[in-house]
Amino acid sequence: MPSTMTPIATTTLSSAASSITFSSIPATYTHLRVVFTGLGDTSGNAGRMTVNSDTGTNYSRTQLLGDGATAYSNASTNSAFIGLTTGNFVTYPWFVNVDIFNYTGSTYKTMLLSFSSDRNGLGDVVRSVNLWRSTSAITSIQLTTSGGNYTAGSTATLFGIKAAS
Amino acid sequence: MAVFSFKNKTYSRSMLNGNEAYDPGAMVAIASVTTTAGQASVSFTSIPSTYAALQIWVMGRSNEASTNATDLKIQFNSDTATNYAYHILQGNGSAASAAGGATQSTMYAFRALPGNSSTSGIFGAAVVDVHDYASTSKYKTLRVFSGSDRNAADTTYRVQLSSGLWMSTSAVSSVQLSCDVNFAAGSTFHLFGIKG
Repeated sequence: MPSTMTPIATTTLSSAASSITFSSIPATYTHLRVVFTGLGDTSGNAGRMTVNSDTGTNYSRTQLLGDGATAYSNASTNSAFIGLTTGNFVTYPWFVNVDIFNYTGSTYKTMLLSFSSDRNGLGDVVRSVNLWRSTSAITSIQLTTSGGNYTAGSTATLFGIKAAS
Repeated sequence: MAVFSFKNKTYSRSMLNGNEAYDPGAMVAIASVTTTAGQASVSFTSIPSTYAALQIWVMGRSNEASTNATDLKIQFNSDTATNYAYHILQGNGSAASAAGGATQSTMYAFRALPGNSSTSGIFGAAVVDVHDYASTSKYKTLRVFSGSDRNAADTTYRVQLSSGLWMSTSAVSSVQLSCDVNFAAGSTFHLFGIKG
């Protein structure tokens, strides 16, 4: 009998790379969790995520942010990706957690994201709800950037969470 | 003795004496519910007191004939008296805000459930955490991370962080989840126990 929360795969970059991909995700779990911590190598670029290599405008989000001085909210519709960081992730690593609900189900896919970075004076704490408008099961996840690479040592783990039947 | 299945290409190991102990891990799936259309509530009952914490994963939609997002309500032990309180921090896509309520009859994940006139297939989500739920000496504190989005400029949809309080020193033995106008078909609720 498998554990309820199981690490499916972990990637730790041995050298800089423009993406981290989890592919051939088994359909045997109920939910997925992606946990990432890492850096980018080019200032001003941000981390992103897509699923099933879908780069169409099929993503949207509602977001809550705090930057140490102000709390604010924004929303995005018909986006081509899910944002994982802001552009400030060159020196101080981001910690990202993505919970993907019922990833094999026949509904659209809802995700809850938390991503955080503290830069010893500046920083961002972000929580968002994201929607991928597809009824397809998720079989792959791509972590990419808006430009440049993830640095060596950046690491991501994909967990499967199995609910009671 | 280990057994290899050529059909499934997997190894299995018996739990006979001498083999290493089977460890199911710290997170244990307790129960799941998938709602039918118009189901008024979901209850998890006879929750064992053997875990350190409970976690509930919700993917829900209300049966309300509207595109508006509505609230998920959470109660413990069928207590409907004003023994609850909450605080929230939320963003509706336009502005961040905070609110709180004392002496409430329920705890909330506000606007976590899309209305049933939203595009088919859109569900909201919530993760509900209760640590030390089996304590008989403390009140119970709840943490909720929830949200709903329908790819439209609609400020009834939001992402929210909530704290909840149940002012009872009874162990949580049941959880009741409901909403104002019942759940739509296909809403799912998964209860997990987290071992300490």
